[in-house]
Amino acid sequence: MKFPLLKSLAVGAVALFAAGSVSAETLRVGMECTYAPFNYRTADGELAGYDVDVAKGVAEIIGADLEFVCQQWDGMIPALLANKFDLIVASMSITDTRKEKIDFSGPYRDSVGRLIGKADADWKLFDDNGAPIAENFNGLRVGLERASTYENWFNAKLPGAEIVLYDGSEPLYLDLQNGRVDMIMTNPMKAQLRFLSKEAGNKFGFVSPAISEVEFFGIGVGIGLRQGQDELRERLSAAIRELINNGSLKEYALKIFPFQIHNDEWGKG
Amino acid sequence: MTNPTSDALIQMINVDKFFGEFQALTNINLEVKRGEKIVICGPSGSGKSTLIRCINRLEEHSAGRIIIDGKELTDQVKDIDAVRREVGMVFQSFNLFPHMTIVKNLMLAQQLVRKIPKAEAHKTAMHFLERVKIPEQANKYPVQLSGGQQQRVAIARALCMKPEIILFDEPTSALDPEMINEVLEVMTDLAKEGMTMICVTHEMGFARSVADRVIFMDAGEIVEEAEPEIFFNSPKSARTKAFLSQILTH
Amino acid sequence: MSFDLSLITESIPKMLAGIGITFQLMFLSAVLGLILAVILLLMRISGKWYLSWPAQVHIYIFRGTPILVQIFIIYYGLPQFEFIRDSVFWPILREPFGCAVLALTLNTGAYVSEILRGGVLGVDRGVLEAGSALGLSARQKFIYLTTPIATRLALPAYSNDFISLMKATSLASTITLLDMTGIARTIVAQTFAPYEVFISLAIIYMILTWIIQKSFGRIEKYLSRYVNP
Ligand SMILES: Nc1ncnc2c1ncn2[C@@H]1O[C@H](COP(=O)(O)OP(=O)(O)O)[C@@H](O)[C@H]1O
Ligand SMILES: [Mg+2]
Repeated sequence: MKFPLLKSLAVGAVALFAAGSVSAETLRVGMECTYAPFNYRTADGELAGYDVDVAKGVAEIIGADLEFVCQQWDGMIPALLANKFDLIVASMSITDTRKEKIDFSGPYRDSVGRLIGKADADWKLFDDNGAPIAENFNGLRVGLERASTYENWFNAKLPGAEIVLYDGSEPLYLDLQNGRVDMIMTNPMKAQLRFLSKEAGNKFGFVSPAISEVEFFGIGVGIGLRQGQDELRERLSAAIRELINNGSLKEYALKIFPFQIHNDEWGKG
Repeated sequence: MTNPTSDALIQMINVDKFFGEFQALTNINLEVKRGEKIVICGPSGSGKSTLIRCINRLEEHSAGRIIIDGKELTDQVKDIDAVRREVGMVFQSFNLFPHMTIVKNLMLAQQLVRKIPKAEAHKTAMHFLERVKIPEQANKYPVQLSGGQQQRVAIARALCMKPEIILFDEPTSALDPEMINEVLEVMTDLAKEGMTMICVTHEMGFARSVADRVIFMDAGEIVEEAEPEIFFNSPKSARTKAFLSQILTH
Repeated sequence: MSFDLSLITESIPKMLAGIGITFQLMFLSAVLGLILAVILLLMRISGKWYLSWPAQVHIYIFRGTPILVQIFIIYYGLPQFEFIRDSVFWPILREPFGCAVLALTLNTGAYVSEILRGGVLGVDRGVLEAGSALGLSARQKFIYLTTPIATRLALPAYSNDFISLMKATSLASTITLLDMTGIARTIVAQTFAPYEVFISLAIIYMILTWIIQKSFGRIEKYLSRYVNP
């Protein structure tokens, strides 16, 4: 060989490459980074929140390195499919329509929705059994996030309501305050923390029970991944079960809420 | 303020004109009687255009007085409008309204300024187009006409306003040589009919045959003023002589 | 990456349901923007500082900031003030449509007034002097000489701005309006198929651009009949 230096460099590179692949796989995780308290940036720019904790907990168990990618909600699944990242850990509910495009791990969080409106109004929207009274929704303007599971529920159950679609949840709160919508449907945990408990939200409150119809809202929130990776999916699901069983998941929730936000049954697998 | 002692149609008394610091006209005194034809010549930049543009207030004089048919040019908009109705102007570059047909060019000011009904304005327009010998071009646009034709239209447009005076600012300078005569012919006809005219031109043949007086300007001043015979045959000023020798040898 | 052609044929009719909103935004803003542009232009060329100055400030602000930011300020920012929510304008500002039209109008008005000013400055001085010499008043010269000539001169630039305006209507989808883009984004959110849907959307906009270009081409040809008869 005429170029011994080159040769030794090449050998070194191969060795490095091999070592790298053994030490850890790197998983890129997509999330909004603006969806507090589940995934958001703290004042010092660090990513934090329940989803972030879950992602880190799972990564530790399966021995992977993480790389976070921030992505707007309505492009989340397309970005996963376009290989911009490998996992969605972004409070995404497991639904049948989504399952046509991507796979999900087992659930790690409840998926419920609640309506928020003026606290002092007498809405009469639900009967004593907690079922919506469709005609009382006629003509009501309801703000939702585009591509949320709530939209399907409204279209199926309450077609008389006028749906207004937003990109992100902050605009929802703003337009509720501004009176552009009569009510919004959103994640109650997040809304409590970000809006209702603040001064801006003090005239507003929940005007519905927690709604969690599996048909529309899915069985819960899971980790999304591209289809055809059954082995990876199984490892993720097992890791989540471990987090449930060893109490970590409860710990993550108690950092934010006074209650856990998952179902212990899910740990049985 | 009028000057009842003079029967002049145009009076310029001690007129100065400044563009900022630059003095374009210096102490101009000029009287033009009704029916008189004046030719103004002089080197480029001598102030010829500025002088005649002061007469219809396209330029505002800086000092002195200008009185047109008894009306003094002041800041009064009414007086300026009244003067402009009496004074027609023909420009070197024709300045027809490019977006209007020939006949509309002739009708616009009649209708807007003189408040003449459309039909009558049209009749007048056609009458003057016949006088400048291009009635067949009435419905064309200016770009479709030759330079000589356009300048004749411009003269007809001025005539439609029935002015007392017409100012010409080098009306043939922008024309190809073969078109100069058709315009000069129209101007000569006008002169014969007794129109009061001030022409800035270097067409010395026209000056000889038509002008009552020829004025030579240089550096913003009237240097010499005489009947054409005297002006061309025995000019007094050296500057006039130098200018004429240049022009005539061309 | 699979490319689903049937999705294109399915989504185009759905998006076309939003073309009405797109057209309403476009024409309303174009007409109101043109009126605003003429007012701004007259203010600018009035020669009075207390008129020309505010016009210049308006033009500077609306040309100097992104239209998306303007839309957000009008839609989310203005209602933060109690007096605006109590004002007679609230019924308009409450609606995303009103906010979008307002933002597009203010924006296009600023651009178009500059385009018109270019046209006005392009009118041959000699033509206006001829008007003065014939005794036309400043007003008459503006109406009968400056306006028609400047219109022709400004038209090519104006048609470009009109196309920009048409495309800018898509930003209304960010404030909940279901124009063509709003519908497209919703379809993408449901089908997770951005390529098929957005390419279909792009094709629709391209066709609209083509129609607008052709229409302005005709108007231009008509207005230029005296230049190339
Ligand atoms: N609007 C103007 N501003 C400044 N200077 C001018 C203006 N118009 C003419 N001048 C100057 O006044 C002088 C006389 O110009 P002008 O009357 O056009 O001359 P002429 O018609 O004899 O060629 C020239 O030096 C010219 O540069
Ligand atoms: Mg000149």
